Amino acid sequence: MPGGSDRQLRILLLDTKHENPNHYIVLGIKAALAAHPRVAAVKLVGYADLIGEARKADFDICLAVDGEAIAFDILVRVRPLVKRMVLWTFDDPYERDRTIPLASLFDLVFTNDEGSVTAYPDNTFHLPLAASPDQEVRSIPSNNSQYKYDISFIGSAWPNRVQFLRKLMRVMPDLKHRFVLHYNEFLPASYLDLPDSSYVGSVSHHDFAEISNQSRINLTLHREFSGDGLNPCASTPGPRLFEVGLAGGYQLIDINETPVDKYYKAGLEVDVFNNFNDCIDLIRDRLANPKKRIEMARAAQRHTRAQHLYANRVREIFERLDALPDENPAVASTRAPHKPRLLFVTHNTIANGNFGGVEVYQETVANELRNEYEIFYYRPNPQAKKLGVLEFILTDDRHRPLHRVHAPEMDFVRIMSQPVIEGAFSRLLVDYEIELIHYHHLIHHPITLPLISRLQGIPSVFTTHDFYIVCSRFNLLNARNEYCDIANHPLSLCDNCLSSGEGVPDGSQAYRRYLAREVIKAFDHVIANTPSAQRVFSSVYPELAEGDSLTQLGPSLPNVTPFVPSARKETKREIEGAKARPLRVVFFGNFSRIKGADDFLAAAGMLCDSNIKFTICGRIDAEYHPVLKDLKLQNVEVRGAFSPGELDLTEFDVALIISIWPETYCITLSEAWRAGVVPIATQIGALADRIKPNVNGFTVPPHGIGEIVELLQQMEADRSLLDDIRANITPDLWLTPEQHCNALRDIYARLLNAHPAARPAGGGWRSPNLPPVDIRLANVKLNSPNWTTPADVPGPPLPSPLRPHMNPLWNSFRALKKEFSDGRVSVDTSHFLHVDHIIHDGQPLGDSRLQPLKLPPARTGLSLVGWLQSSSLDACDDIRLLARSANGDMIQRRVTLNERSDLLQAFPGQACTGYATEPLPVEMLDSGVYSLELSLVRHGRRVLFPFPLALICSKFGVLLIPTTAGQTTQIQVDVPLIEGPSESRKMHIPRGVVVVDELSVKASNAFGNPLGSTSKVTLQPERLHVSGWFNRLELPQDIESAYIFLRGPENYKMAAGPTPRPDVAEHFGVEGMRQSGFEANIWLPGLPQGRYEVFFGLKGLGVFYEVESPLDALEIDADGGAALGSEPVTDTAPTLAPIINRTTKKRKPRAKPPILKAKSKDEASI
Amino acid sequence: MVKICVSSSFPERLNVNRGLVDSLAEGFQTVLGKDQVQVCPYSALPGFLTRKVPDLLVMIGSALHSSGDYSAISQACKRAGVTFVFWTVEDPYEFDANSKFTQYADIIISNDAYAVKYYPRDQVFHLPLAAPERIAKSLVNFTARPLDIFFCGVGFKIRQRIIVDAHDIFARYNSRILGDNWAQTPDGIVQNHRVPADVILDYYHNSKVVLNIGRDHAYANETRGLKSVTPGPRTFEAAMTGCVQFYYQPSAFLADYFEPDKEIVTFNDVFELEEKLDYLMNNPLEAMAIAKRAQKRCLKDHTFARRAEQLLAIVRSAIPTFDASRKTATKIIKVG
Repeated sequence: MPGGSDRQLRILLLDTKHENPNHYIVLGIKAALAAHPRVAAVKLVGYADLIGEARKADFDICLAVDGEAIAFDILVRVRPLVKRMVLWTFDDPYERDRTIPLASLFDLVFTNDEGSVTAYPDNTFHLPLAASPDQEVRSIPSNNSQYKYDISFIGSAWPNRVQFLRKLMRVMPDLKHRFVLHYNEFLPASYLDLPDSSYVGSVSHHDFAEISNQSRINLTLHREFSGDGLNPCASTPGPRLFEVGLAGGYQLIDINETPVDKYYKAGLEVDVFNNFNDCIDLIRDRLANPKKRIEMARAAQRHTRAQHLYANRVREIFERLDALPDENPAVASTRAPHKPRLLFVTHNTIANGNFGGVEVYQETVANELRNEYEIFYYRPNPQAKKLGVLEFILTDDRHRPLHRVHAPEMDFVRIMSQPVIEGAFSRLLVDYEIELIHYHHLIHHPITLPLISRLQGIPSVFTTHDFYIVCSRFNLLNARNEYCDIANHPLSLCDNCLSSGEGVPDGSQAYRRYLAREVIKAFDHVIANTPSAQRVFSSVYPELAEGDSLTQLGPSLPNVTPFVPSARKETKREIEGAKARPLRVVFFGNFSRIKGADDFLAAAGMLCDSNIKFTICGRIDAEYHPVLKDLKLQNVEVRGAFSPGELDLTEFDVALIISIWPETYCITLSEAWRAGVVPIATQIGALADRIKPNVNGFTVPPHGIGEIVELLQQMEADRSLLDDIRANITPDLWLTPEQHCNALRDIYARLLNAHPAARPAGGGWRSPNLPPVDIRLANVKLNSPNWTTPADVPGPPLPSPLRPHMNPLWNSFRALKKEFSDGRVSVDTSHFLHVDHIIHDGQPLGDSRLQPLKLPPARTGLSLVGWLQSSSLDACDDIRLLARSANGDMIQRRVTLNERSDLLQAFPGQACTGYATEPLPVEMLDSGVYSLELSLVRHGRRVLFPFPLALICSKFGVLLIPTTAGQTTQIQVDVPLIEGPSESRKMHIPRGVVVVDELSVKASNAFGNPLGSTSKVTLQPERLHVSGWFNRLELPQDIESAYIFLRGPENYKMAAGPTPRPDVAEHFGVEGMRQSGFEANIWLPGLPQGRYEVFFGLKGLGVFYEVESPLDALEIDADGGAALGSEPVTDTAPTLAPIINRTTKKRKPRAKPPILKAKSKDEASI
Repeated sequence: MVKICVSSSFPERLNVNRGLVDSLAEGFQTVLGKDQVQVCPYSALPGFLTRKVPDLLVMIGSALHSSGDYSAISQACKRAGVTFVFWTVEDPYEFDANSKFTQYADIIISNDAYAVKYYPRDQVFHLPLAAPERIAKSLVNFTARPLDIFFCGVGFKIRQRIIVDAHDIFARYNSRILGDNWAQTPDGIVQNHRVPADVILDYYHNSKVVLNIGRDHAYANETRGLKSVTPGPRTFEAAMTGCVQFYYQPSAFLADYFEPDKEIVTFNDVFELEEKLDYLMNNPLEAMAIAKRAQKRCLKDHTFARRAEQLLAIVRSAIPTFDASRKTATKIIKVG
């Protein structure tokens, strides 16, 4: 334990997941830590202030909790700053692949999942989540009547949970329930038979605890993944178990995925189940015995208070920490002396050409400090722009590329933040172990880079070479090219300027300033070169004026300047014979508008007949090439660009430094002075700061062409003026590289000392495959990355008002159920539904009409598109798709009908109608077989047209199978209809009138489809096959068709289709008996467990007649296995044919779970 | 006597809820007197604080707007010795934007009772919004009100769900659902148009039942994904005008403000809505009694004057030296 077990501990608590909806857990841990007697202080931090806080105080422990979305780039730098690092993961085993590689950063790891302990390195222990008295504790209702709900379930809408709840509502429809199902874009839209508004949504953690407390039963259901074996199962329950326990809720827990017996006593504190029927039994029992149930809730709450609070977990953490050896090797190890790694972030370097004063200055500093620091540059590469991409290059101090970062091209003057570049920059800082950053310029970068380095705790210096951080018009020239004097005007002036100059909307500057202020605050030290620049910055960002982080330090002369100034004095000869030598005036530096090129040319033009010669030394901006050519000024010489050190300024008398923007320093002025050249400069910004007018130079107003001309004429006429000025030019007016770098050394050293261990921990770390840092971690809220289009209302768009409900037909569900239970539904197999396309998750399935297909998990589900003869729909309305299973599950989807021109061409003269169904979310189907039918109302009565397709659902997936062998054979295999209680009448039939040829249980692969041949599907749903014939001559004339009835836990009936029996017709010699055969194939999966009696029946004039005695008994076991029993045949039962093809399965052995295997991904979709 | 400045938290021309500023100022005026309270435009604040030097700046509104930048205001407050209170009214929907003021305000007031716990700093308190007394209306016309059911609001998901699901119920009554982002229904019950705030009050006064359906659409609530637990301003306004409110799936916190099913009717689903609605429509005097109780509660506990008192009490408890430092500051100003 750091500092021994008696010491009062200081703890830094970090929630690793910046966007964490479970932050309440972290608050619970914080409260537990704060209450612990050994803890002196606990500081809950985010990434934004993690390293700052770690440096501020001497923390014993950094406890990182949750473990998801760990910002490695930051954690790796906090490691050396605290004595112990501890990780407590919350979401193992699902997240452990990401956290295991980081385990060595920590002295101890605690995982929420017991089964994950061995997956981690040593020093990993199991620590389950818990509950917090601050958040969940509630008093338990003393009386059963005080509860609001019978049962509640709150959680994500995993399909297996929805299936379970659907089933629960079918079996116990009168429960007063509170279901809250949370959906997201990854979950299929499985729904309950309720209006969406009854259960879709989410609640606060506070209300979760309230509902738990006010529900007689709190149901916990596991979440079932796709069953592909890739997702591990949690071996420890999540926090909800403890939270509901503390809230005083009685819990009924599904232990299919995770046992809870280590935490609560089943039967005494909680109840557990692993199948639906057990759950139902427990619900019935506990609702009927409230005293027992409430006592269990009390016992669970007592147990939670005693053992499952975060206070208990905190104690365990401390015990494990106590057992560690005293020394923390990571802290104890000392790094060998090394040159600190210093990064210059800049817009350009001298090596890239086309440079200015900033680039020269950077090079000067690098040359001076190379022996003390390992220097790197990070800059954009303008060459890459030609290829349409952005490239940023990390180079060494000799400008040799080390690393390149690429991003799509964008305008970084307007775009402030770009996550790819920010993330890559973050990684570079870690991988190159950068310890100190000097930001020289941020133009052409996302200006957010300093926020990234700040997150990592890397100290930084910023030199204000211009005003880019204040305004995108970094020279502070307004739309009229005049200095805006921003420090002395309100922000509304900026709106006016930017709006008129660039069409930027009002408020944009404020938005840019918001981020720029955060950027400014991210610097540890800001160097303003001169008082005027400092005034501008501190007026816009008053925070800068508060501390001592803003200082003045002008840049130095370039150390490549070769010329040692010597006292220059105009000789008497020169004075007397002035006309013999023209006054030599130089404009040096980049010849551009902002540097006063226009004013220079105007002045030179006015003096073209004088004895004054003008020279331009420097790169000429492109726009001035034609101007210079057209003007043909005889008194102007253009020498063009020069390299640092190339230019001998001593040949000139006067330098025109007439920038129209407020320079922040102007090295040019230093160079002129040092060469003894008299400056004439504009009286704004640094030039005004540095020049004492008429003492060490002359100043003129911006655009003061007249003043320039007059001064030059005076000097040309009286060269002694030059001497007077030169006499006042002394070395204290500029800084040498040595002087400047000595000051810089002090700043750098101070920052490195104030930011210990800025280098990442351990050494040799390379960023793991984790998401890099982004600026959201810096608590910066950007409505838009583009400051010129600041979205006022960011965030997700409003939902479409036409968004369909998951269950738009909910309102008719009860009525439909009633129609079925009243026996007012019939099946009509005389109309064939043509299925053109089966669409699954938006994609058409191939030959699905002929082959069974395993449907992969899908977001939207299955829809059918096809056509039928319009006559089928005569006098029909209320058309829907119905998926129906024997266990009473029914799902309705809307059907749209449409005219199809292709059908008119294909079947001229026949009226056909196209149809398309809404997608059916197949994940919500329960285990069993579902028929697919077109449901419609004809003459006030519901009729079902079966589709030639069925769905077989098991925990291994959903299988779509054709129910006819091709398009011609009309063998319908279907789900029996649930029958009303007194629908049929008993009928006595003499022996021999009805003859059953076959009564058997068969597997579905007997249907001639290529099950098992080309497919790997081995699922064999069973059907009850009944076939035979009946003697119509012995029955009333109104008998229309045969039926099979199942009587048991539920009552079912199933139409037995007519089959040709020429043998019967021949035997009786009656041609009319040719169609006397019948055959029924009844899906059995999904039938509720129990014993059923199988009856034969007939229908005539809308009345069902049932033969008095059963054909046989059918046993459905708990696993869905089916077997026929041996019922004695009485004389009232239909005759079993003299030769009976009876395949009786005696009590089938427990069926193995059906397995859907696939060799490859491709096969899986077959 | 304390001098208060009340301001919007972003430029007024963009603030559709700027009425809150005036209502809060009225509340302070009721408590402190007219001369002690001034409303200042957002953009004029830095200069105003320097010239007028109030004791307290109460900025009320949202921090999400791009123009919201509170550093300069905080600086001006510090220089002038003004206590800076930021009262956010958009928790938790804009919780992530709070980082823009959490480091600058001396005291934070959140409209949401649960979001308060999630601020990474101290001196954060909860005050629900309120309704101005002036909008309280007589209930004499209650049973004769032309509209049976009224709702106005943007069609967020949660609202779309319940309004669509309950449409058949609404169709049995004289109902109006108004606001942005709705699919209009042929029967005219649901209409897609925005209604100005003052007109909404007229609708309230002409409706027996006002539906109260929260919001599940957040603009900046990623970091904590918090759920709203405290009623919004419309709840207090509808209660103040004298309506029966039907509150859909309320948080347990609702009971802190109104007594469920005595002062405000709650429902979790359309079945409960139908049952309670049919009952009250058939028993209008009972409905009126609920509306009266709600109005009475609102006049007692949920006026802006009450909030002004509560806010001043919070300031004094959070900054025990508030009154003393205020006097000192005044002296300094006079001397200066």
